[in-house]
Amino acid sequence: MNFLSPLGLIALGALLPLAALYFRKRQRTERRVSSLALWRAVTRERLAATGLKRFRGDLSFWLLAASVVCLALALARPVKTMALRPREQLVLVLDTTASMGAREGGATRLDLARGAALALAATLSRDTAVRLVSAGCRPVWRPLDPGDPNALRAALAAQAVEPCGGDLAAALTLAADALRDLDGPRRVVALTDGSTRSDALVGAFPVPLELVRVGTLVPNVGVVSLGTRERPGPTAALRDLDLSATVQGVNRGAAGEVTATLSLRTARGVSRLATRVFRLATGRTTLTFPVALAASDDPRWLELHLDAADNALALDDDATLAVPDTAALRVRLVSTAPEGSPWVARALAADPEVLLTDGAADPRTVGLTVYHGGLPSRAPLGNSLGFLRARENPSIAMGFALRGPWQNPRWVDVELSDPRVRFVSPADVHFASAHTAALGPGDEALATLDRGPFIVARSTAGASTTLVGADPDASDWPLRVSFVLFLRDAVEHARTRRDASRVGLLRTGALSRFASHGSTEVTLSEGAWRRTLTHDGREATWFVDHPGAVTLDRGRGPEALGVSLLDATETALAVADLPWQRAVTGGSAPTPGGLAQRPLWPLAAALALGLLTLDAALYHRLKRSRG
Amino acid sequence: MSLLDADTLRGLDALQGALRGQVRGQRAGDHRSLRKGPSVEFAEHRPYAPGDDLRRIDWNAYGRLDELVVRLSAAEEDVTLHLLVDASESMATGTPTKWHEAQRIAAAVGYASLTSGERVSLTVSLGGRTAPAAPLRGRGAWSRFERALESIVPEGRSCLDEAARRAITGPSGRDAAAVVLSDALDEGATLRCLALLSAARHSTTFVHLLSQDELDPRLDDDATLVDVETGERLDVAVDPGLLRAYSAKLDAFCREVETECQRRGVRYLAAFAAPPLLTLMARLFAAPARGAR
Repeated sequence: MNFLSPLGLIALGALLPLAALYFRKRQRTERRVSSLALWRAVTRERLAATGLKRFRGDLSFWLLAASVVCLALALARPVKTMALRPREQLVLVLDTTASMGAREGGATRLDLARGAALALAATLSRDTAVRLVSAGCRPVWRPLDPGDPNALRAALAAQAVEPCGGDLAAALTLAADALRDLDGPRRVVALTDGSTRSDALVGAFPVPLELVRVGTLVPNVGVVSLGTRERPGPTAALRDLDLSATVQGVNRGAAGEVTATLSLRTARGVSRLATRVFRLATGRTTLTFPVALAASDDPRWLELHLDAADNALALDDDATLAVPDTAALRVRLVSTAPEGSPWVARALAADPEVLLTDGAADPRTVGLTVYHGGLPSRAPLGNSLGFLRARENPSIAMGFALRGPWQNPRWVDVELSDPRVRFVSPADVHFASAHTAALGPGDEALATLDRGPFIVARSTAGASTTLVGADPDASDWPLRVSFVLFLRDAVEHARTRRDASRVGLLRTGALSRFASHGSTEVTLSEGAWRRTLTHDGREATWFVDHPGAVTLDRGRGPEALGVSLLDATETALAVADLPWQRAVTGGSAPTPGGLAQRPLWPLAAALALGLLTLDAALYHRLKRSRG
Repeated sequence: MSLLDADTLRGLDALQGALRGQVRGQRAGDHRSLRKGPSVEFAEHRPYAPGDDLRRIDWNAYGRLDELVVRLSAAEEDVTLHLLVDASESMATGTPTKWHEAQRIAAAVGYASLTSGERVSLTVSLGGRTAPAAPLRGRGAWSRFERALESIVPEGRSCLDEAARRAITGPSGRDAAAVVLSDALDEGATLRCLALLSAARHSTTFVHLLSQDELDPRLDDDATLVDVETGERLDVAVDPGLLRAYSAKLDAFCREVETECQRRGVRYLAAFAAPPLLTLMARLFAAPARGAR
């Protein structure tokens, strides 16, 4: 028993004056009598005859004392905390995934589930504690007013089909966890069309579980997973990306085998990379087929589409997967030379770990962009290396202010400690003309002419920019080994910073990890997601509720940042399951133990009033009998 | 201040005639007793019993009736009156106290006896002992008798049975007269006293004294009753029922004492709530009317 207002017990202090009055009253007057023989005989007979009446003298005191105690208890507002042990604890898990919106005979499966839930509720005893969990995109507790007999009906009516596949297992786990600490009979009843993933959970469910299936099982074919791996083979400087695509399809229907068509293509691509027609038996089917990606394709991610007749749920028919990076660095060569840049191209192609692409490639998909002429005035996205052309005379290039040109410049210094120029020998290289650059804060001078620095570099958190203020075609540098070594070291330098330049490669359904240099800016600009997340190196988690979910947290390494995106239309391909605890929104879980408080103070107050009334009646009777 | 005023003494003198002949003594006195004895004036015959004086056998009657009978005559005797007074502490209760009333009654009886020429033996029971006084005779002893009564202060418990034992074994011997004054609230001592006197063939009168407080105790609230003799205490919750029960118990007690007196051949005279002295004495001197109150 607990007291809501313990200060009310102070009223017990009234017992003290009451007791003082009582003991004062008990001080009887003394009367001297000749003999007690007669009185003793009389009182002995009366005691035997009156029984409890002998206590009448004290009865008034005890009645008053008891009434004071009851009054004090009433003021303290006692409540009795009781465990609802005898109550049955029932959790209704209502499947609200997209498949529940399928119509059968004019009513949706959700309507059928509502009807089944109400029919079940009608058979329950009145003291059964009913809770509701909606299993949509995420499991959510739906609070029910225990005092409202129509609460369940109203809550059921408020549920709607959610446009996602969902995971009934997560909802069942949520329900089981909520019932774990409750006493009494426990039961979970799941109302579902059976199209969600719950089969594995049912067998080992910790509380009694009843699956109430609604609707008719119709073919429900979807993609469960899509994976790729690079096919082994000889590497080439300019080669296609050979992948093996592995697709897992599932048929949850009861109609046996279903004929399905799988179409694989690159994102934004029009032409299909592969099309396979196969038969999906009940359960999962794994299909592997080769995919050849040309270097000119946008290979960032693949899109897979499944098409099957009479498919009840189309949400899981599409899947998207980022193409894994290969060991080779993709280098984009951009040149304004009419004949191209054969020296540069040849030197880059000499590196077997380079995949050389042309200027049409998306700069966000490459590890290094090499410019030969046509240098942008601002530093480009990602790692870049730029060579000036002899006939170009810009005042600013790649963010550097230029001076010159200087005719027949002379090398005076090389920063040999920098890996990019460690093999450059100035004595062997001669330029017809060259520009020098003005160094800003943080800029480095890798090589210096007698007029100033002409190979300069600038590093930011996301990219590295290197500028050579001379045209290799107007020098004898390409004839030297140091030119090849310079380009190779530039590639290696870019390779080490590749992860930092992959910010733009995030894609839903894929898990990306990249280095985090203290502060990392993640910009999601694809599709409906336009959100910038800034990670400052601390432990952090972000959720983006609409249209999907974004989880941003630290990876294994101290400077690794992991990003996982879940799209509403790609839930079936979730690469990271949402912990159910994070899915609890829109209401509170039931109180562990199912405790209830019953107020006792009205009883105490009534008892005090009754005792006072009884005492008054006795007093009145005594006065009347004496009077 | 004397126990009896002059008017009372005159009233008692007027009652002397009634007293004559109603008590008997061993020696020939100056008043006629109800007791039949060997005297000149013939009264009646009774059958001979072993132990009777052979000189009292009426041989003439034997000749006529062929049966031994003894002559009985109205005795002219010297009467001794044993006055046994309960002076225990319980007699000091009541308003006026029972002891005061007992003093006045004893004084009246003693005065009447002394003026009648009888010998008066006063024995007081108090403090668990007896205080016998020397027998007195004659009107001249009245003042001594009165002082002796006045000097007594009630104390302790009653032992009237012991006083009776002394009376029946004293010089007055058997067949005397006795007047016992007590409230009988002494756990049977008074009744034992009366039994002894009766066994000694004393002509005994028991004057039962009860105060107005005992007859109608005025208790308005719960009280603690204290026994004046033993000091024992008793808490009572007073209500009309209790008082009614007490009255009934007191009536039963008085009837029991009276019945015991009748069974022992003792005159029972109730002197409750200080009745007028002369009226009481008139009843005492009148012909035996046992049980009269």
